[in-house]
Amino acid sequence: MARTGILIETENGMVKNTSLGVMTAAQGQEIIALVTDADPAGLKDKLAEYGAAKS
Amino acid sequence: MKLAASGGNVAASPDLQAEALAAAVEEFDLTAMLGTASAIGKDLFARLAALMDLPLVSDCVALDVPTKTAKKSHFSGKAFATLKVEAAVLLATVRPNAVEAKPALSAGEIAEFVANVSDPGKLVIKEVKKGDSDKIDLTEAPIIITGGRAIKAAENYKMLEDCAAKIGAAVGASRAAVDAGYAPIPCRWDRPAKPCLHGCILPAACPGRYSILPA
Repeated sequence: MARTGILIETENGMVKNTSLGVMTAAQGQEIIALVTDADPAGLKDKLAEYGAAKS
Repeated sequence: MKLAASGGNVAASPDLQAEALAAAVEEFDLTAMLGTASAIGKDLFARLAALMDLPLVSDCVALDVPTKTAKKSHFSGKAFATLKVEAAVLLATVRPNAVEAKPALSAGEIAEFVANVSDPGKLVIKEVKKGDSDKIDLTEAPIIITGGRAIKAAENYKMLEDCAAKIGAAVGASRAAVDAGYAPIPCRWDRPAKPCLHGCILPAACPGRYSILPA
């Protein structure tokens, strides 16, 4: 399966809904959610809910 | 995945962040790299495209990642172009809220990637002035109350702000209202270019083309 990277934007430690929309656009691919400005451990459940294989 | 760089804090430097993203594309053999067409995304993906010498499709309204095909809106949504990218990696930014978020449960695992890159030092950020953090971001707002030039004065926006505070909405402004100085630039909301998250827009003192409910 092809891999797609998605740059996740956060606000106040939460994933922005706009980033979840981008993840939806990539569903069907192996999604790697890349986070630079927050701790991904706190976002794992939300990102996995929208298809992230890695976050 | 936590993206970091050995050469500094990626969150503090768009150049370094672009370098780290480029390294991640190589490391994980990504066939596509996507982001939001936000201020951050527009800035970063342009740097990434230049760095990787790849074409960038910005502000897409729809994407088909397997075929590397993107749909873009032109002339305020009056025309659409479908673009097929022939490059090895699809770089694209998606217009905020153009694609409705739908869950698709995955196992998900936490990982960290530290790119062995350093900041090229072309850009030094001396100060970041954050906006009013209490206000709801227009792209994240469930409801937008937007005012036009007919609101007539900056002080009249207070009415919209009071109303928005009561119903959990964000206040937007037409280009004309922003140009007239009635509202700050971050309030500018252009209906075709910025779809509302849940599609509920309450126009106030706006010309006819904004007076459409829902979005």
